[in-house]
Amino acid sequence: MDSQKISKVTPTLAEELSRYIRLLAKAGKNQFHRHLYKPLVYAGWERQMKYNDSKFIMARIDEARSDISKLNTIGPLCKRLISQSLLESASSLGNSSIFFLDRIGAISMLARSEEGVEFVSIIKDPLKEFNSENQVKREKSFEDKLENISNQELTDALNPIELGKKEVKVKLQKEALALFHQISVFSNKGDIHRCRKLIANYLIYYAEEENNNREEVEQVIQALENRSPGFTLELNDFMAIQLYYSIFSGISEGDLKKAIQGIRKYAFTFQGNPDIKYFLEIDELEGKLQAVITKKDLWKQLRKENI
Amino acid sequence: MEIKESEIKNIWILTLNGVMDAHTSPNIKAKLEAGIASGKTKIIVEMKDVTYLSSAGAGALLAGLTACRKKTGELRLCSFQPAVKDAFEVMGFSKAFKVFADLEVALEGF
Repeated sequence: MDSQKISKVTPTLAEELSRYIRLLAKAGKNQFHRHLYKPLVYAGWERQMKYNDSKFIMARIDEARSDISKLNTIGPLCKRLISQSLLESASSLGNSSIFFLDRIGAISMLARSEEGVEFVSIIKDPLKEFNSENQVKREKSFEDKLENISNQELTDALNPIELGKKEVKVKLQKEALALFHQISVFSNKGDIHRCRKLIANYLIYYAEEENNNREEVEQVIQALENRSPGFTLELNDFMAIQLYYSIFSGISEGDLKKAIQGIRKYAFTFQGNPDIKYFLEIDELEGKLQAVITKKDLWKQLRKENI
Repeated sequence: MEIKESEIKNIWILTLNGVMDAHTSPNIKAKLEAGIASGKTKIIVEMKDVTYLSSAGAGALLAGLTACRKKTGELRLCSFQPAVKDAFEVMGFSKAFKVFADLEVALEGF
């Protein structure tokens, strides 16, 4: 178990924990209690007095975010938010924790704050424990579901977006262009957090398609890397987390199409780079997928549909 | 995964044997990158004894192709087993490479 002390929460870690909480929410009340509620209560974050509801505190946090003189109040407010949500409900605690982690990813002062570091230090190990305990279970579930998937479903899941039709192609190009425009705007504003999210979306959704401003996006990435060293690494981790979450939420929801498309997207986005997060885990899933395709003797059919 | 090396008329030939997945592909990737860095820019990767290829394996070949092109070289693939070739095509990697039926054909016009 990784119990290293941290002095600052990286955006990648915040995003990863936020995704684990989303997976945890689908795993049932007992797991949620064990891996999120109890660690926070044992760390003394539960407050005895109920004063405002969590939504009100969230609004105050976002208000403080736009006022530079109140930025240092965000940490204590976030702690108060978690304390309050522990008294409300599991869903409130989940939402508040995700809210806190999202703001940690966006506000560097909060990522270094006492409250931010303490919060992450409390929940990090239990959430990672939850993830590794469930990894094997989810892989088994993926295998079982693959065994029962129909040939047509499997073929549909592996098909890329049909670009042959002109209107689909034009629509995708328009979307990519709009997204690229947003990336340029936030890059000029120096909003690294928004840029990371937008570029991740761009690369994940359009990497497999034709070069919709791809070169220009690469230039923006390089510029952001120069401005903020480590940006590319964080971007890759960020995308890997998104894809990993998408794959496993697909498995938990019984949505194999989503899971298989996630595996395929991961393959296209990272092209065998062993330094990317979840490289081995996703390769394991791909192995199971290929074994089922071979067993069902579907390669020929899939090849025909892909050409 | 076993990697055999040979050279014909200044063309570097790598013959791979075994499974190409996340565990074995970093070695292949490193081998390709080291060769390219030392000046080998005409490369053929012979796939006849590769029994399984995951995206991680295909990605290692793609990384080799990219490095090779940066030095205005070329990386060709040949002699796929049918099932491995199917997987390679379905995952969409074949569009990036020049793929040949066997070594003899791959050597032609290189």
